[in-house]
Amino acid sequence: MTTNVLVVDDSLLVRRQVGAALKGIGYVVRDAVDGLDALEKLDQCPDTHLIVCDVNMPRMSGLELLERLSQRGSSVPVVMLTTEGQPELMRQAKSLGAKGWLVKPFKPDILAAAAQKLAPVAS
Amino acid sequence: MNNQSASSPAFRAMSEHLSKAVTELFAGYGLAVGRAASTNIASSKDEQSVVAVINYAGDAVSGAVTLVAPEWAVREWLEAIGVADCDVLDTVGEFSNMLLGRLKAKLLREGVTVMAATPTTTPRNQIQLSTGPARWAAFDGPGWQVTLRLDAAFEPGFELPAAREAQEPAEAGEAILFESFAEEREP
Repeated sequence: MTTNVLVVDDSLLVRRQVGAALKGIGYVVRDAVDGLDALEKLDQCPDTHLIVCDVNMPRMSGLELLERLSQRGSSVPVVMLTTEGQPELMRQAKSLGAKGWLVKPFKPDILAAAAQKLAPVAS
Repeated sequence: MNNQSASSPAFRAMSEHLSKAVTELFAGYGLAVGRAASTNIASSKDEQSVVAVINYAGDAVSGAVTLVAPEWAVREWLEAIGVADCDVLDTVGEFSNMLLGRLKAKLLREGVTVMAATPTTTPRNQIQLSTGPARWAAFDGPGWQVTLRLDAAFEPGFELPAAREAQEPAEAGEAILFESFAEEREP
């Protein structure tokens, strides 16, 4: 049994950083470059336990992705990882179903703790 | 929007915010970076440099943040972060994004909300920057220098802090799970 995480960010640097932080504690990490790519990856791998998602991305933003996931009735927890810190955006994300909000640059142990809370690594 | 002189108080204040953002961002990665005594713009045209430009816009101010860095310096940032084998252009783009994020947070505390675009990146020798009002600043890191340009156009009468109500943004590095967010941040 694996615990699968999908990292959605248009920056390779961030995808690598998140991957390094989560693979080290037992998660299987896949990635997507924007919201549209994420929807395709979720179709390919429905057994996803956690999504870590940027807000500002080309083609489809993180908030738009949240909306699409909500329309699909998805129950996969989503934590936003972004440079944005505006309370209004956080409220929007929360109302669209996001479970958490991390502001970049992030500390790996803090991301790991959030991931463990939302989707503990299967033992 | 109109063009205030780059020496106007609002422009200077934004530039100071951006300077603080630079030192805070690099300090977060263990890199000591300080304001350089001189801004050597000419050296930034070195063809081994890379550029990230990220636009922002709000009700009262809009413009761009441009980050110019030698390629080899960006590789040193990657070493400091502990992520190898990353694209240099992608990295300078993400750094510009994080810098603008910090600037936005500082503006939010002064009642100014701006939205950011996604960064555009290119080798330095493939871009010609505009000549509009802008403030340049250089920063010395351990063995390297980066240059930063702030472009801004303001609504007439714009000043910092703005008359609008200030907001308290989430800080860089902060993590909020929404159960606690509901208790601590919602009115």
